[in-house]
Amino acid sequence: MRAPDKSPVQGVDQNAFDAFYTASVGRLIGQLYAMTGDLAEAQDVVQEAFIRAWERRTDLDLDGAPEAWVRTVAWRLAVSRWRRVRSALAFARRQGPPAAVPPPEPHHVLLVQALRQIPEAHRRAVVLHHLCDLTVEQVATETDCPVGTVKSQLSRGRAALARLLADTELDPRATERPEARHG
Amino acid sequence: MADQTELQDHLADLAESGRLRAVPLGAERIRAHGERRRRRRRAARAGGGALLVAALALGGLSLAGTDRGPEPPATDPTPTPSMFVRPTPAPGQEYASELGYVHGAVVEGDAVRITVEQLRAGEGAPTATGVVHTLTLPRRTLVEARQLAGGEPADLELGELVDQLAGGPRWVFAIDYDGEGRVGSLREAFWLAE
Repeated sequence: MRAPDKSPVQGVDQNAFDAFYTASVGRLIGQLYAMTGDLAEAQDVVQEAFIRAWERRTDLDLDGAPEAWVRTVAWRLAVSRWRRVRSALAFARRQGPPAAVPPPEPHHVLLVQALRQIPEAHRRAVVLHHLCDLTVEQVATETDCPVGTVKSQLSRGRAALARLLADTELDPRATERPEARHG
Repeated sequence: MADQTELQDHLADLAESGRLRAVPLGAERIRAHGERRRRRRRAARAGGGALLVAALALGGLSLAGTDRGPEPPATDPTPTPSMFVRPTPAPGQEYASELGYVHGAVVEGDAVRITVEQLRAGEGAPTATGVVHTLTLPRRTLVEARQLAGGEPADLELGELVDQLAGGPRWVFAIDYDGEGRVGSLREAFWLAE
């Protein structure tokens, strides 16, 4: 999606949009899950972002970076408490009771808890860089932050996660320790 | 966490678990939601234009009437009956919402005038802010209703609900204002009663 004021209108047809949605909705929900630590919320905000993408389909440019646009909109929705409530309510109302899904694995719970404890900006940078495979420069562009700030966020975010996950099953030292003792 | 590769693996594993557990709507439903919003926005624009014309006409009549009859006696100004300030969407947001009882609905031509008693949401039950104001909205203003529609979610038009909203304060709505202060929709705040 390009900003409406700087590009020729391209637009997408229904089939192209459906293909884009089908190919990327799951991946984006996974990414927003890592950013927010809440799967239901991730699903709500990603779907809401896609609704907005379709609303503005005349501006949607599938040759550009539509996935980044959807991710950014979904993130903004997620950090806006009121919009989060609205999206969740709207979808909950139309979808009926939540689908039965298996509970998360214990090590996922550990990671989510740790992610939730680091600042939102650090978490977002870590996920964009280490999960979405964006370069530091691309993270800076998507988050609208200077490169130096992103580097700092990544460094602090990683350090905080390492500290929070120390001595858990996600800490490799925990599994290596018995060998060290025996060795 | 030993290194960055390990962090990447953990995050990828977490995201994959989210992807597998998610049950997203079908693309056609996403498009349907988007279409509804587009229609709603168009209707709001059209209604806003019509209301602006009406407001200008009324303003003109009122100005034209200022030279009729004596001026009212000078008295201490009474407090403004309403401290209402239209909510403004935050940067990046499409709408800002106001929570309040909607009642006293009256049809005025193609519009419906409603009274809003603003509420503040917080921990526990919402509380009145003391702000009361009226809105005159197109009859076609979209209303997302549930209890008002008999318990099933439904998209209605404000004009269809005049009878139910004509009495005293009973139904609480979230009223969505766009960046230009226009009302995009009303959503029955059924969740407050649950």
